[in-house]
Order: sequence, then C-alpha cells, then structure tokens
Amino acid sequence: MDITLSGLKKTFGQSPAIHGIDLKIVSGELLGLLGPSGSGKTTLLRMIAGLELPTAGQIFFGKEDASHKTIQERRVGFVFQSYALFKHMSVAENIAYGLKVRPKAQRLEAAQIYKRVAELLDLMQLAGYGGRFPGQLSGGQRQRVALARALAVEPRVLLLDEPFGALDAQVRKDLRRWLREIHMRTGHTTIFVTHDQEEALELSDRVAVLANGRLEQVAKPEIIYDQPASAFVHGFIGESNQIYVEQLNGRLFAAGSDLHLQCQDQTDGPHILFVRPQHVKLSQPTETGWRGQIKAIHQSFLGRRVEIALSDFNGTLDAIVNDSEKLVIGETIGVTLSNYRLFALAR
Amino acid sequence: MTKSFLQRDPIQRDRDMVRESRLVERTLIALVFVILALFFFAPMLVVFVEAGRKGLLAYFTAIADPETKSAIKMTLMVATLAVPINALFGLAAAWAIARFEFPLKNLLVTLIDLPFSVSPVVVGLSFVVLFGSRGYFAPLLVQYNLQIIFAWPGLVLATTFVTFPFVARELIPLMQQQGVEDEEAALTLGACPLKMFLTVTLPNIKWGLIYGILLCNARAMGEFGAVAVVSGRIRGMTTTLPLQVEVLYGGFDLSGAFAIASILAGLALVTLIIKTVLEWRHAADLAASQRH
Repeated sequence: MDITLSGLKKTFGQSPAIHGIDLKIVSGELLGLLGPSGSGKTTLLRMIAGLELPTAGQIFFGKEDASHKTIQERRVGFVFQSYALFKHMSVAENIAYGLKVRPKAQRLEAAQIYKRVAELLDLMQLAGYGGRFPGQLSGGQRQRVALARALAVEPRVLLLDEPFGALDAQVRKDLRRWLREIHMRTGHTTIFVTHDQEEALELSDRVAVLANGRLEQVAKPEIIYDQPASAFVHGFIGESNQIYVEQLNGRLFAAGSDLHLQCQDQTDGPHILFVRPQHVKLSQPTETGWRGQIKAIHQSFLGRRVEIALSDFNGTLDAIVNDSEKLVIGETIGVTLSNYRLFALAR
Repeated sequence: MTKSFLQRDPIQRDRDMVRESRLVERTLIALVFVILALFFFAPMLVVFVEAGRKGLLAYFTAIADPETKSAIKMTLMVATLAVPINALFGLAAAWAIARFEFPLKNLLVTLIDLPFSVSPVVVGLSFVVLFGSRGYFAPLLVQYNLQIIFAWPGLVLATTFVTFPFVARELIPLMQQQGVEDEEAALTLGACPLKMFLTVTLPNIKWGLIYGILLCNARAMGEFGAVAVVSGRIRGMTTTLPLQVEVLYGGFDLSGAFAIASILAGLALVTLIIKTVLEWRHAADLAASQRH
C-alpha cells in the first residue's frame, strides 16, 4: 500500500512539532525515519497511525484519504518502543488479540485464529512460547511478540517506533537482520523510527532525515551518505570536518588566504565546507597547497587517525591514514581533499 | 583484644558508622511493640472480651435485637450504594487525571482529597443546611416529596462524600505510571474503546481498583461523624452499626454496645487480612509497570 503525506503539520499548543511534510512511501518499501530526539519523527509516525491528529494536511493510504479515519479503521500495525505487550495475556493471546476483537461479522473462526497464531509464532521463531507470559520473555523475544501481534491483523502499513531502542548491541544486530528478512518475506510497507544512523542506513530502502519537524533529505542510504543534501545531513550522518569559508567571485577563501578549491555553486558569501576524515589526504608540503602540522596521532584497532592543525588559517582536520605512512608529531605536511561538499550559510 | 577502628573490616566499619548502637536499635523495636500492644491489640481484645462477658446467649440476643438488625441492614444498604458510586466516580476521576491535560487539573486533584481534610461533622452539617427541612433546597424537596436528611438518602450522600477519595487515590498513581501505550496498542489492533477498557485497562488496574474499593467499603461501614449528623439517630430507622454502638453505650447497655462493636471489629480484621493480600498483588503490578 502506497502511503502519501501531503502538507502534514502538527502543533502542540503553541509549539509546532511538524512543519509541513510531503512524502510518498512506495508500496513494499522499508523506510527509515531518522533524526535527533525532538525532531518530530515519532509524532509523524503516530499521525500516520491515527494516534495523533494532524493540525493540517492529509494522509493517503493508496488513493484513499485516511486523514479522518479512526485508528481502528486505518488498520495499521504499530510496534511501540516499550512493546506494550498485554502482560496479563499469554504470548498466543497477545498475538490473537487483534483477530479476536474484530466485530463478529469480520472475525475469523477460532480454529483459523489458532492456525494464524501458530504460523506467526513459527515466523517469529517463537514456536513453543505461545503459553508463556510477557514477563517470562527476554527483550528480544518481547520485541518479536510485539511484531507478531502487529502482523496478525494483516496491516496495510507496519509502523515501528524505535524498534531496537531498548536492546543490547548484539541482540540489536540480530534483530535488524531478521527484521529485514521478515520484511522481504511479508512485503509490508514498513516505516520505522530511529535515532541510530547506522541502523537506518543498514536497514532501509530509503532514509528520510528529519530535523526540527522538517524533512532534510529523503534518499537511498548511499546517497544520504555520499551526497548529503544539506549541512545538517552532512553533519548528522557519519563523521565530518567543518571549515567556515567565504566564496568571492567564484573563489574560496578562509582567513584571507585562497584555498585553491573548486566552488560548487554560484552564490557568493559565507559557506561551510564539509570533508569526511577518509577524504583528507596527506602529502609532501607544496607552495600553493594546504599545509598543516601533525598535532596528534591516535592508533586504535579501527585504524590510525591524525589530527592536523592547518598552517595558513585557523582550523583543524581529522584524517584517517594508512598504517604504513611514517608520521611524526610536529611534522609539517601537505594536505589535499579528495572529496568535499560546500553549503551556503544563510546570512 | 579489640581491634582499633581502622583495623576492622572496612565494610563492617562503614555499616557501623551509619548504624545506631545495638541498645538504641532494640529499644526502638521494643517500643513499637509496646505501643502496638497498648493501642491496638488491647482495645481489639477488650471488644471481644466485653462482648462475650455475659455469655453467648446474651451476645446473640443483643445481635438479634430488631434495632440491631435494622442497623445492620442500614449499614449494608449504605455501603452497597456508596461503594459502587465511588468506584465509578473514582475510576472516572483517575481516568481524567491520568489520561488528559486540562485547565485546573491541579485544583481537581486537590479537591479529591477534600473529604480527607475536612471534619466529617462539618460535612454532615453542611448537608443538613442544604437538604434539611429548612435548608436551601427544602422547597424543591417538599414539592417532589423527597426526604434526604433524617432518612437513608442522607446517609448514602454523607457516606459517599466522606469515602470519595479512596478509589481515586489508589488509581491515579497506578494509571499515571502505566501510561497509555497498552491502550493505544489495543486501539491500533482494532479494539473499540469499550473493548479496550474491558480487556486491557481493567485487567491492568484490577488490583488497585479492588484495593481501593476495599478501603472505601471499610470506611463506609465505619463512618460515624457525618452520618451521625444527617441521620438524626432515629432508633430502628436511620441508625447504622457505629451509631447503634453509641446509642446503646449512651443507654448504659455495655454488653449490647460491645456485641455490635465486635461485628465492626471483626469486619476490620477481615479487611486487614484481605488488604494484606491485595497490597502484595498490587505492589507486584506497580513493580511490573515500572519494569516494562
């Protein structure tokens, strides 16, 4: 089922939480909603579910306008951050809940409900756990029960709020891979909220980056990482060095010295230059190129990082370098950037 | 040979530093038991001893007295009406406070506690002024031929007011702690609000609700002050058990007074036992909702 958000806004009292979002989620897609806390990602998810009503704008499920449909009519599968399992019901009763509360006319027969619950227990690798109670399960198992319960009603869209937030690193990794598999097998349109960029980039077909209630960029993970659309996205995703620069007549300056770098747009004025540590290359110092002094060398199992103080203007850069390069603290070296991005700053 | 302070086991040393001396500790514990014995066990014991002083026959004669029977009936009727009313009120108030934000919410929370802080006699008096034969609403009551003061509706009214906070007080913190996620989950799974309430909300607050109802009931059956004022103490008509105890005691029928008192005391003991069991279950619920 395609989900289309059109001009969606939400205001809590006086403070706006969502500023007007247009977004189309294609049927069968796995979309990650990524943003820092307070960016409005959970509010957006809750509006799609009908748990919050938008202040303005519309939500379409396929071609149908669902904006004014009740929660029950929308038939979404919602997995809560803390799972919200019914603790007085067994695992099987939890999963069957959505099938049993339907009006009589639409309800499956008891035998069919039983069969569906058994299938879901199998799918979630929880066979044999049907009789247990949520209190007797581990965090990862509870998460899977919550997902099974949401899938039981054959939802038109599956919504997950910080699905792995409360789990330890190893369980997170396993569940991530496994959620991907479940998604491939069931093909539900899925939207999940996370503040963990690694999770979003690894799991999603597309990532929507949200900041202060606005969409900053919606794209495939590799595009988000390699071609961030805004200064916020570049700073938020992955590691970056930042240098404030001035663009004048198509040339770039920092503290009055020419940087000898290509401009990326036509607008003169203050810009911010982003460069990832792996794109900072060390070389022999030259007359025209950037020069710097090695301030510190950090060796760890992840590789070697060098902190460089730039000589011609104020600024430091982090660089990731080859283990084989011979470097001495205090040594003067040349610096080149193999890749960088410029964003104009609002004056 | 005693070791110097610093030579001793450090854990034991830290413990000793925050602990009172053995003597103080034991004296305090003993004091608690003495006070309990004097002010709790002794009175309870005396009630049963005095009730049985003139033998079983006298005991059952006193209880079989028509006035006593009427008092038992009145007490049961008042509790049967006041407790369910307050269970509903309490549930509604707790729901409103735990689930919604609205202006003057803090005032409402304070008002719920009002019956705890105001003397029951004052409550009784204000009901007399409102609903008595010369009260503010007297013309209306005469027109519809209703009697509230010196009749059972007055007793129910006064008791309901006095016992209002018990259920609400129990449920507000519980429902605030449990949050709305379980209920939201039920709604997204397609449950209508009534089904959500019956299958998710009610089981979640079950023990707190029963606990509140139990306390409410104990107080409803034992209420004296407010009921004394609005009942007019018409013997065999508007007296409840606590009032009947006072009536008999005032008439120097000590064994009669204690016989009825023993019923109330027995009720208190049963309440205490159930309360202990419930408290245990209720605490487990609270802990579970904190753990997630």
